Amino acid sequence: MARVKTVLLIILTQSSIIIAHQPIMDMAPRWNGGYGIQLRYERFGSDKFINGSNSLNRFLHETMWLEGVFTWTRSKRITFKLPFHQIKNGNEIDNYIGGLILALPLKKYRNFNQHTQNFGITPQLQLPNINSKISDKSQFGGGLSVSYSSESFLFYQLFDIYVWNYSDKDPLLGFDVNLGIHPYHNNSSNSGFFAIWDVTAKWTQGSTTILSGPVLMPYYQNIMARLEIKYPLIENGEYSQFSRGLTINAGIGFVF
Amino acid sequence: MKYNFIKKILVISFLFGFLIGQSIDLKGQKIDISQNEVVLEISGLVCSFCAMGLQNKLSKLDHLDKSKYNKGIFIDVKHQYAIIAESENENIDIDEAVKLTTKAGYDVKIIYTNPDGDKIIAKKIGGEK
Repeated sequence: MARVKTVLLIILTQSSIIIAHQPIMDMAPRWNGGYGIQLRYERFGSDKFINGSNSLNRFLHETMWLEGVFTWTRSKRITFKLPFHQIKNGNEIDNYIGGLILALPLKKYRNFNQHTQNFGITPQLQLPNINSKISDKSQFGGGLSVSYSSESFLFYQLFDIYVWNYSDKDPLLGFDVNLGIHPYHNNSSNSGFFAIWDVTAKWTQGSTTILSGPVLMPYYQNIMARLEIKYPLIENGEYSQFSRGLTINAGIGFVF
Repeated sequence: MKYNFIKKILVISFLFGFLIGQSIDLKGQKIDISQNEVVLEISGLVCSFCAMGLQNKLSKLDHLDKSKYNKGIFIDVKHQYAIIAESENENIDIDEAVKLTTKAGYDVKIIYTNPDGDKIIAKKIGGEK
């Protein structure tokens, strides 16, 4: 039992991914006074340890994220993310609300003839949930992200490097790359879609995780959806931990 | 006989088009500009989703002819321009249109108008073209 709890604790501390992307998308809404809200479902889990051996239990971590953004000006926004977690480890099920994450993306845009680009810096804050039963699940944390993004009629790219420091957990360093195309636009209905390849890497003390996979982002008028499927390319660590297995993200957002 | 008729129609259409408006070429796209239209050449406009934001902003302009295009506004993302249709009696405030475009997150490079219906005037933002 003690081993199960230790493994569970390691999973919790190592697997909570604070993704770099801000809600809705890097660029929407760009207009002054714009705002948006998004629901995003995330799941990952497996019945294997990262050393390849099988576990008697299956571990599954599901999170429903409520996310929002408000744009004062195109270069100044505020966002929030609130996670609702459910962790299944064999027959044990744990539900809890995670810490609220607030961020202040600050961007410098430059518009060119055929493309637009921005450099961003984003201070972030994770507030602990005071109702949380176990303090490890919802800690105080501070993060900083530095990004570059460029988009043309056909291509999209995002590079983001970020760090997080927590009150009672090892710091985290992450790097995120999105390279994609924008193959379909329809001006009259304001619709189209992006097809992106995503690589996410993160390092904590004694642990490295690199995930990669496709992202599809269709949009129609003021509605945007995002579907990601990421496979763990590299998972290693000092401790015995569960492999993440496939990570699936599905979200829908509305901007106004 | 039928061929001559089509030819006459084409010639008349061309002359009629010449009389009521002129055209410009933006990134390989021919755009006709009539007397009651303003064309903004815009940089940074790269997706249809971006166009929606611009459409929302420009639709706040007074004196739009909402019977034309999409409530008075046409946006082409591929060739990066917007056409604003103004009502016959009153003109839109072009400075306001530029301001709203900037607020939407984009930059107006050149404004094209055809005030008398016989000559297109191009105004570069920051000076005459």
